[in-house]
Amino acid sequence: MDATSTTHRGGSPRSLGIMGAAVLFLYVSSVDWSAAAPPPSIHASGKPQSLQVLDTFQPGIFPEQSWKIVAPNPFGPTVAIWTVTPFTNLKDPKSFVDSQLNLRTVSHGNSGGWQVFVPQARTTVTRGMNTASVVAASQGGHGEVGITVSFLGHEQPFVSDGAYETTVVGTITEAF
Amino acid sequence: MKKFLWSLVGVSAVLVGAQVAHSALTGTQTFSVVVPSNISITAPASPTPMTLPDGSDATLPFPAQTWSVKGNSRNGVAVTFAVSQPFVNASDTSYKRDARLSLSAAGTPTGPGVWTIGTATDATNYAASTPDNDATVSASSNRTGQASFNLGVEFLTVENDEVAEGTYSTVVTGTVSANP
Repeated sequence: MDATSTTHRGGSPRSLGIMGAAVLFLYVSSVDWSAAAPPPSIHASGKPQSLQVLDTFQPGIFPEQSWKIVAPNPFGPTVAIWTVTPFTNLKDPKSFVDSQLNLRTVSHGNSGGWQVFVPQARTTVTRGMNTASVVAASQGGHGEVGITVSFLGHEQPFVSDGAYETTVVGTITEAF
Repeated sequence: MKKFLWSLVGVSAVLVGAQVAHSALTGTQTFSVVVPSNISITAPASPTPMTLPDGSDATLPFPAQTWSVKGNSRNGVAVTFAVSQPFVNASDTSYKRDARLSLSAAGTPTGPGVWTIGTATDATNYAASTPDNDATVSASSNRTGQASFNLGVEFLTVENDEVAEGTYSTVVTGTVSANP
């Protein structure tokens, strides 16, 4: 009798748990989450950039590029990371030139939440550092930052002629 | 009740994970740099005129002349040093003396390129049945870099008595070009 009673007492919470989970799942599934909180986005405002290096004793510095950060959720912790690899000679993939990123905040957003955490980073191919990342984060809301890309060809005594290219990839992640 | 809470936690974790994965978005921008070709060769100053000793039949060598070559061609450069005629008497061009060139590396090259001497020695032979009026020595590299070369130039004498008096001269031309 005690055993039966024990079984009876144990079954009720299990049923409640399963039912609760099911109800929650059905509720969550029925909610249009994209409408409630549109996904964030990140994009460069400018077009692809081109530069001709005439003075090989100075770094080639591109004009600062504006990136717009759209983070609709004003309360969601959001991280934006920009990553770059070394410049690569388009006709000789073995020829690399290190790249550098500089990041600054242009607009902190309505809540003033966008802050730069890693303002500068560079690649160093000779040490195996083939990516460089700069980072900004906020508690949510829109923002605008400026990214400056540098071509560090002046660090090499002889940079092969030709066209070099790299791509800055910006990634935004909103936790909630 | 405890299991119910765990169920809630599990469902929430799945939802949060899905939302985080869904929210990671990217944007890109491309940056291009053009590095122009930069190839050059630098000749030394013209050497001091040499005087052929009286009665000497020996070859008259000029001091080694150091040339500098550099290039940023990704496949390296080819360099030649040439004379297009033997030494010629300035007062009477019918009088000539053969010229001989010799090439060797001077110092240690800089940059990733490896430099190789192609033709180390060559001489004119104006008196041959088929006259050879030019001489060329050469070197090349396989990547970017800079190197210096010692170029030897010799005034070849066969018989001193056959050498008419006067001033003889020839011109060495250095040429560098990018390897294809």
